[in-house]
Amino acid sequence: MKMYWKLFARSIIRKVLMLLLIAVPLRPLVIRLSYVFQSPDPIGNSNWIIYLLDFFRTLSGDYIYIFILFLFLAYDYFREIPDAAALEIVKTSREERRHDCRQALVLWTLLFGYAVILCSLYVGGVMLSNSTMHALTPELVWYFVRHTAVYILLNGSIAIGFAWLISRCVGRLVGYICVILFAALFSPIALSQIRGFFIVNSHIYDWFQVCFIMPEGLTNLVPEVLYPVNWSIAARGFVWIGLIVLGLAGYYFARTGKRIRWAGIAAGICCSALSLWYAVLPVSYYSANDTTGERDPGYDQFRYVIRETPQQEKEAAFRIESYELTLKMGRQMQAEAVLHPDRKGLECYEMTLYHLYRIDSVTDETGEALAYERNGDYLTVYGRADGPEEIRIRYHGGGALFYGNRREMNLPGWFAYYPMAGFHRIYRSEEYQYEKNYAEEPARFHIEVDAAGTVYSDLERIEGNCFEGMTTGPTLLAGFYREAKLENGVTCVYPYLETALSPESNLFPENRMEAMEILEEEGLGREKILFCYGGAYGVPDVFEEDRVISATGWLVFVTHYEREGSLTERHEKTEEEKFEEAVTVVTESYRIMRGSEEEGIFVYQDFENTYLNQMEEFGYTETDMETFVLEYLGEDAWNDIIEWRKEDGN
Amino acid sequence: MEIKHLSKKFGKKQVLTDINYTFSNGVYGILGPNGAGKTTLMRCILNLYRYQEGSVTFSTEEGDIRSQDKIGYLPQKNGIFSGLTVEEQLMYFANLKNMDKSLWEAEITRVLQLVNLEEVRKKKGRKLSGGMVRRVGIAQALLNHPALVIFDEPTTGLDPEERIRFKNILRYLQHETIVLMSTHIVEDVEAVCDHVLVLKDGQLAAAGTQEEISRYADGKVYEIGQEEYVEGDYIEKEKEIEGKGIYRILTNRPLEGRAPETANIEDGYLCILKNI
Repeated sequence: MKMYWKLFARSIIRKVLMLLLIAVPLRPLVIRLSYVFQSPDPIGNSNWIIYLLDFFRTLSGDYIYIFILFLFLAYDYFREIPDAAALEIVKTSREERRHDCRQALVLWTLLFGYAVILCSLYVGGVMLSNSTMHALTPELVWYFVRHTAVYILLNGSIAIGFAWLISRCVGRLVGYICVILFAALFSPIALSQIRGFFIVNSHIYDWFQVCFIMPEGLTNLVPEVLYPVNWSIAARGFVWIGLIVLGLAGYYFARTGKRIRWAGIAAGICCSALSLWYAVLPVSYYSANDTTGERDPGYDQFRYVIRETPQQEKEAAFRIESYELTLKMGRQMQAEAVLHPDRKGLECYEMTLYHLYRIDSVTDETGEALAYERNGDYLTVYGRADGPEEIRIRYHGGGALFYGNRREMNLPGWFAYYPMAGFHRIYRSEEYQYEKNYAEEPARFHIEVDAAGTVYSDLERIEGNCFEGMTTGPTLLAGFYREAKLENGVTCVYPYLETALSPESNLFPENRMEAMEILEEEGLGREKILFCYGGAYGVPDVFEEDRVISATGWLVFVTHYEREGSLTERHEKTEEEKFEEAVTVVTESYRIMRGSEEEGIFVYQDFENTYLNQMEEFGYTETDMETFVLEYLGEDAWNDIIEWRKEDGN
Repeated sequence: MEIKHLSKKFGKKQVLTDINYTFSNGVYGILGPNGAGKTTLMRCILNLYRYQEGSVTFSTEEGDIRSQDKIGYLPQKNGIFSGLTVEEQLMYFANLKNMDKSLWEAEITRVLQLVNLEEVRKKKGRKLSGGMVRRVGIAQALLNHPALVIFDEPTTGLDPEERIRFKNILRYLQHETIVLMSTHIVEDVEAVCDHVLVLKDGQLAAAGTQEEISRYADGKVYEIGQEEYVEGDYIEKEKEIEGKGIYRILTNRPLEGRAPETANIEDGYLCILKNI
């Protein structure tokens, strides 16, 4: 092997590529470290996790650099043999295949070493920081490992394999053209273009997804969810590995005509075909780069607002007294819901179930099939004169934003992931928000979840991931969540990667205390609080139920309470309240930008956009900004803003 | 080495047809015009090409030479790993031939002495001249005391001195090795080959010792004046003696009163090719 390492090392091109490989991840790390240690703002040091996540996200977004650099590195190394006109000599040797495998092994060892270093960097970064040590959980380490395995090792292996095949099958120049085209095909930019091109025909796009081995469309991803790695992305990698094995088997065994050639070719075909089938199956993950059309997290806005898909509202003629939900989490959620309606003999039972769940069967307590009609988000089950006593519905599927998979779940109780009595709107188009649908009266729920990790719910845990209790809508969360007791005894389930929410974090302690006082005042002090991901796509900021509030933090919780005067009621806002709300958004955005200002780039532009978005409605223009800032934020803030404007080059 | 009924097609094009020959130790020259199938034959022997019919078997007293990595090959164009020294290049090929590591040093010294490259042993590939690169190629082919060595146009790029040295190497090898050498240069064959195989349109048109090949031209080689030339005579060479143009021709027509010249291997080769 020493000879192969020597051969690898004796090349200027490869040395340059290796230097690039090392330099790319170091750059953001150095910037972030210097910022954290030099920051005069105390937030800088206590908010380490944000910087680490940001660093990780930058790296994740840049996984393509590992792929591309390894592609060129491998091509250059494998070309060494044909370039030295030694390929024919190598071919005459019995060692030919072993020889080429050794070359691949050198590259794979480098790749593995690089992956281990990067993975250690993520984990080490979390461990070294006092403020984020608590966030280092087996789930997080597993998450890093999964990322490393898929985006570095698997995709890196594709790069090595492709370079190997091309270097042996075509000439140098044609090979370079192939390598460049291959690299371009997998770049997130090219994928966005392809996506745009095929959006009109999503069927073609589904099959084209096999090229999507890299994270694409990074802007919509949030830190709490990070980048989902799922089996369908990994399967795409295996499709390519299969094709490459196929090509290499054809190349190496073409001359020998041995049975092994057919074994290699058969293995390649099987691997490609199975992976291809798996890769294009719809999944229920929240993943901007894995979805199109209806499986896109932003698609509901398009569906209900732009396309104006009709929604219905109809009070139910019955009430569901109890539910038995059995949820098997996987690529999609396989569910069985046994409902006990309070009235028998109705002509039909009208229910709401999110449209991305497909009904498999509807039966009664005897197992006899009941007629049903599925229309978008609505399900009508036809009853009979003497029953049914229970309605058993089997369905599968999953949303993009409110998703569930083997390890991660984000299923708020107000979302129709289980059949709800009556017809309800899913989306409030006029406010670009999801409708929160709770039953008017609590029902008894018995929920059994078959998932890989710990699932959290507002219901009482019976054992494992089995829950029971009375509620108007059960919430299920899993993934990077943790349970903690607050100072006042309230149980809090929070996403631990979001330091603003962590009770162990020192961020905004006064807001947390204030929030707890509010809970006490409202008589909700002994309730459980579940934070679930809100953020984009019109998920309500504050859920009007004591159990579930927004992930945007204690501050929003308090602000909401102060504004609304209640946690449970929402009233029509007056003009004055709307104005105050807009002013609060702008002033808060200033404070946030001041705290999280990074390298001073585009901060002014962001602030100006927020100001104009919020205040234009009230007659404020760009020229009024100074007056506004001086009035609501003071002179120091105005000086900051002028400074930002200079840095932005305005 | 025994070749039996070897046939090879590229698509529908028949490139080799029913080649049969048995080789024993010695130097074999493969002669033939471009496209006659010389390189294809060698590649079939080396298993670089899969052939449709026939067989190529190797056997020595020790067994199959393929399984002992006892084949040396110098392709028509050989290059060099620019980043490795001459010694490292040879280590690389020794490794490829599965040689015992303890033997590398002595074996590399031996082949470097044979090709006269000892003094550049530590020089990197990129610093070698074209002739030196060719000699490194020859050296790698000789590693591991091969039982079969195949040289494709070996003297290309060698200066006259190195050509002589190469011919000496072949003489050194001829008693213990089968050496196959394809070339266009008949002089090279004449100088070193014990046996000659002439390929024509993918068929083995003739095979034998140099004398046997020369005999194809017996009584057909004449030197005539330009004015005696008749259409149909094949002009092999042209020279001028005392201002008078002389042709060396190959012909089947009887030239009365003229004694034919002594035929050499080139004459025999051309007679085979031109059906004279």
